[in-house]
Amino acid sequence: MRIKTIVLSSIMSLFLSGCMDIEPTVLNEINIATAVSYDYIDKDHFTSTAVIPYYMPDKKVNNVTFTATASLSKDVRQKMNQQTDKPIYSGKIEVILYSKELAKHDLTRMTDTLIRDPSVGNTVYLAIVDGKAEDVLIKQLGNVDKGTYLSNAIEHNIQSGILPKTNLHLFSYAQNAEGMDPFLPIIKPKNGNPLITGVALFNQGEFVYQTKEHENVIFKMLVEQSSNKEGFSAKLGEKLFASVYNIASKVSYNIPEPMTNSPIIINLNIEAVLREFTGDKVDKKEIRKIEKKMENVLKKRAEKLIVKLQKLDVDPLGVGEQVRTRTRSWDKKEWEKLYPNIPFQVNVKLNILESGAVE
Amino acid sequence: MINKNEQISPFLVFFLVLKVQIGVGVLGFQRLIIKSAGNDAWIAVIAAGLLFSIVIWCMFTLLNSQKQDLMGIHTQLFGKVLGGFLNMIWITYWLLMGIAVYRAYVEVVQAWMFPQINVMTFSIVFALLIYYTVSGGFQVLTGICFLGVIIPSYLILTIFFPLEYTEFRNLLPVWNHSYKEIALATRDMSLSYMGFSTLLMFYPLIKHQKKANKWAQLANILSILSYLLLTIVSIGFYSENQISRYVWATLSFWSIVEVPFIERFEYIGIATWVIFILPNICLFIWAATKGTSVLFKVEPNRISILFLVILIVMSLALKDRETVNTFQDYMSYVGFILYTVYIPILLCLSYIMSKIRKKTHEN
Repeated sequence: MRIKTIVLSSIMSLFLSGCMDIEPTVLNEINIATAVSYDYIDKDHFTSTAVIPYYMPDKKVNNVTFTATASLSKDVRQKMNQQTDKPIYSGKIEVILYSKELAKHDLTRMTDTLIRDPSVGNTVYLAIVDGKAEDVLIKQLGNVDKGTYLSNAIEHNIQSGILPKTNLHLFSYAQNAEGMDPFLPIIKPKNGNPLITGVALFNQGEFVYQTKEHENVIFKMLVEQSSNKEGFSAKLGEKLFASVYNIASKVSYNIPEPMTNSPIIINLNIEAVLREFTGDKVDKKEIRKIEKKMENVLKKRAEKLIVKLQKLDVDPLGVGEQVRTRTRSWDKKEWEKLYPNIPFQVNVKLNILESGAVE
Repeated sequence: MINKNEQISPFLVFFLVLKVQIGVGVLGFQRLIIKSAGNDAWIAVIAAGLLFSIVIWCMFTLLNSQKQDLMGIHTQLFGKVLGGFLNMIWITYWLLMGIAVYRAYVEVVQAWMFPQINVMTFSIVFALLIYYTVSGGFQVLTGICFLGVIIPSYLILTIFFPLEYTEFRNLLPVWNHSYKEIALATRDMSLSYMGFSTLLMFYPLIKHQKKANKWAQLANILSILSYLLLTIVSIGFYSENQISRYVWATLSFWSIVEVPFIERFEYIGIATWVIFILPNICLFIWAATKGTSVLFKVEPNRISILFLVILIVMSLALKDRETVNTFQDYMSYVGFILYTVYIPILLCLSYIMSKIRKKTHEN
C-alpha cells in the first residue's frame, strides 16, 4: 500500500511538472542582448538599439544591432522582436547606454524599468554617451561581443583608472539617498571606438555636468577610498613637472558642527610612487618639497571642484549623507538650502613612498 | 500514552524552532521594519527577538506545568465546548499560516522566475510532497526540518557579496527614531519570528521535555543573530528610500552576486528556498491536522488531504499581490495577538486554576 502511494505520487509529480506552463528558454532559440542604447527623439519618444552577438561556426562573433522607436522601453523590445528571427531576452545585458540628450530629460523613468525587471541584474553598468548613443554600439571591435567589450572597458577603468565604482545599484542608491546625487561614466564615440572621458554628474535624475579631464582623478579620490594605477601630474614650477602613480587614497570627513555654516573639513590621505620628475636629483629633501607642492596643487584642484559642485547644486560626493549620519532628526530641505554656501576645506596629505628604480 | 519510539530528542527542538522562525519572511522583511524605524531597525529586530524569547519561556512554563498539548490544556481549562472553540481558532490559524507561507513563496517564483507558471499544477506537486511528509509522522517531519536548516545554510555565505557596496555609516545616528516608531517596527518584525507555536502541539513528542526550553531559546537567539546580520547589511547596502521600493530586499542582494560560473544567483537561491519553506508548511499543516484529528476523532491522513485541497484552492483564490499582502497583514496581526496576549493570559489562567484546584483538593 505504502509503496503504491509513493510510486503513484512520484509518477504524478513527474507528469505534472510538465504542465506547469514554464516557458522554455533554450539558449539557441533565443537572442541574448548584451548591450542596449537609448537615444532621445522628442519628449515622449526615444530610439533604442540592442546588440546581439551571433556566434559563428568559425569562432567569430558577429554583433548584430536592431533599432526601434517607442515611448516605453518594453514596447521597444516588442518592436525589435518584430525584426528578429528569435525572441530577444534581457537577462544578460551588461551595459546600458543613454545619450546625453536623453539624460538631460530625467533618467528616472528609464531606470525604473531596470529596477522593476528582475531579469536585469543589479551590477549592470549604466553609461552616458557624449553624442549619439547608437554610434558606440555599431562598430565591431575585436572578436568579442560588444556588451562584454564595453563592460570590460568600464570595469578596468574602475579597478585601476579614473572611474569611481558605478553600476545600476549604486546609481539607484544615490538617486534615492537623501543627501547624495548620482553619477555615471561618460563615453565618447571616437570613430566608433568608445572613449571613456570622465564622469557625468546628475541632479537626482537629470544630467547637469560632465567632468573635465583634470578633475577626474581628484573626483575619484574624493568619492571613495580608491586605488589608481594611473597617476596624475602637476606643474611645480618653471619647466618643473612631477608625476606620481600607484596611488592609494583615503578620504575622511571632519564635520565639527553639522548643519551650520561652519566649514566642513575633508582630509585626503594619499600614498603614491614617483614616476616622472623633470628636476635634478631626487633626495629626501627634494621629495618633501615635491610632496608639499603637489599637496598644494591637489588641494586647489579639490577645492575648486567642490565649489563647482556647489554652484551646480549637485552632491555626488555624498557630503549630505556625511552630515545626515552626524545629525539627529535631519531635515533634507534645510540641508539643501545650506549646501551651496558651506565653506569646504580640503587637507591633502601626500606621502611619496618610493621614487622608482633610480635616485 | 505516547509511544517512546515516536518521540524525538530535545536538541532537535532547536531545528524545529529555528526552521519555522526563518522562513519565507527572510526574503523581504527589511522593507517593513525600515519603513517605520529607518536606520534603527536593528533595534527592533533585537527587541522583537527578546519579546519572543519571553513568549517561548511562557509556552514552556505552561506546557511543563500541564504536561500535555494545547488541545488538552484547552479542554481541561475551559471544558469541551469553549475549549473546542478555542482549539478551532488555533487550528484555523495554523492552516492559514501554512497557506500564507506557501502563497508568499509562489509569489516570489512568479515575480522572479516564471511569471506564467501554472499555480494549479505547481500546488498539486507541492501538496503531494507535503502529504508525503505529514503522513510520514512527526519523526519524518523533524528530519525534513533538520535538512531544511542544514542544506540551505550555505546561503549565509552570500552575505559577503553585498559587503563591497555597504556603507556602514548609514547606521548612524543611533536611536534617531521615537519609541513609537521602534515599537511599530518591533510589531512588524514579530511576523518573522512567529511560527514556533506548533511547539504547543509537538510538546508531548519531546523526550526530556524540561531540557527542550534551552534548545528553543538557543534557536531563537540564532534567528535573532541571522535577522540582525541581514538587517545591518541591508541598512548599509540600500538607501532608505531605495529599500522602501524593494519588495524582496534579500533577493536583490543576490542580484549583486557574481560568480564566474553563475551569472544570476537569484535563481539558485529561490530554488533552494523550496527546501527552506517546505518544513514550515509541513509543520503548520501537521499541527492543524493533529489538532483536528484529536478534536473530531478522525483519521489524520484524511484530514491532511482535506487541508491540502484547501491549501490549493486558497492559493489559487489569492490572485494578486494586494490580496496576498492584506492576507499576510491580517495573519501577522492575529498571530501577534495570539502569541503576545493569548499565551500569557492562558499561562496566568492555568496558574490560577491549578492553585484553585489544589485548594479545593486540600479542603
